[in-house]
Amino acid sequence: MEIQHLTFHFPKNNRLLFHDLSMNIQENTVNILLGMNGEGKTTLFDIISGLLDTNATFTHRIEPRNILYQIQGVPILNTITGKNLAELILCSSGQYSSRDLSPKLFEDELKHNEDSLEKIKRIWITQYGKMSPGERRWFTVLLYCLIQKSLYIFDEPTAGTDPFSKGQIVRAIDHLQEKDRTVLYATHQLDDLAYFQHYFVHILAGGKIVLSEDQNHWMEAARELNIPFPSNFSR
Amino acid sequence: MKSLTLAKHFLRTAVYYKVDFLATLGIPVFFLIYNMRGNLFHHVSAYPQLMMILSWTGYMVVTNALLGSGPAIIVLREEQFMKMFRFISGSQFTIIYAKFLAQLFILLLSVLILDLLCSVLFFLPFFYLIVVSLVMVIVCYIPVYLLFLIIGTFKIRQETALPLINILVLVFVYLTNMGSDQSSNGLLTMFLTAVNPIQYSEQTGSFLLSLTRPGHLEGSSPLLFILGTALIYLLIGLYALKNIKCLPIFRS
Repeated sequence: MEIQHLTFHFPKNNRLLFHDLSMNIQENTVNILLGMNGEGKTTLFDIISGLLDTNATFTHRIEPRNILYQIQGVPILNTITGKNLAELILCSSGQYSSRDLSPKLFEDELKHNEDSLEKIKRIWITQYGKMSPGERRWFTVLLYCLIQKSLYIFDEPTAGTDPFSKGQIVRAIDHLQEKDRTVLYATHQLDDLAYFQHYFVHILAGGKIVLSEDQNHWMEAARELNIPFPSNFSR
Repeated sequence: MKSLTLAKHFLRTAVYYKVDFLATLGIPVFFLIYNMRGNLFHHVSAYPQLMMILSWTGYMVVTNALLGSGPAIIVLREEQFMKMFRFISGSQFTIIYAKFLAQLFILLLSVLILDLLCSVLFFLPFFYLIVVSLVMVIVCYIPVYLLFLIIGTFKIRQETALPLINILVLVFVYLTNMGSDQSSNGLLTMFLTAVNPIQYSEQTGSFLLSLTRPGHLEGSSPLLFILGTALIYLLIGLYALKNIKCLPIFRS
């Protein structure tokens, strides 16, 4: 999927957020979107997912019904259990019925890891309000990964989680590319990248995608362009 | 199936936040019993009492429609629930339909409780009352729900939605009282019926009641006018459905 000539400002704000932006989203892999606060990462996702209308040209555009867009901070009733949450997300996707619901659903996602499956069994019967923030995020992301779509958009899925939960969340998302799915992933946490097997980096700055490189070349390209990133990042 | 799952979630949320039942069921039960306290456990003429019950049923139709329609859509939109589940379910209409179903279930249950209570307390014919009430709910709820969807297109924050519900209910109750005081004025009644969904529901109930009492049609608004009002509500609702956005206002 490719976006070209995207120029955009919000109706009540004359500041141009994007100016002739172009972006090529690589298929069947993880596309990492990096950018400072306020550069418009979420707005770009809203445009890609069809929530905002623009004058941009799209090539091989993915229909909104084939997109899954993960959002942080949506309030969920504290008293519902993991099973109830699974029912809410999986059954409302229309791809599962309540008879399909069981912790066994996660076996492939967790690569039959016994410890993780035990944890899922516990979360399954735990109320949402009593799960830790990391468990909530991990479990929700796992549920998202069970739904079959063409494009998955994750907007800072690891924000505010501990390193262990972060690893679990990113590995669950990484598993999607093994199933030939395309992922768009926005983050400020560069250490997230270490958990991905393969990825492609896009950097958003000044209303444009200023860099699009694979995992082996993006740091070098970023240094050449004087884009500031922590020097201790290695991959 | 998708809508039923979401409707189940909305019902679970409604049960968790029980306070809404005070406004939709508690108030009608209290005022009906208070106003008809002189007839408690007495066999008296059923018609005026049935009219009063249908009038409060009209109030229940409107309060339930308000709680489940536009203002609720604003809350779901601002909390980003609409955005999240639009992509999971594939369409924002699935969420709106689920909200409609959940609130209709609550309304039907509330009407059943109200009718049962009134039948026992005032010796009224339960099956007759429940049939008229349910037909009234089915006829009125869809247009009134669609009418209030227009609120869902407003770019207002969720904190504004609750006060808006309170203000609208007060205005509609005031207009209903005004309509009752001057019921002899046909034009005014017609105007109030058109702008006031409580009055519209009440008039529909009155019409349904009169259908079962041959020769008593003179007190009801003409059927064509009720249908015309319903059509206007439906058209407003269809316009709203086309224009409801799922992005919160801080993101649009």
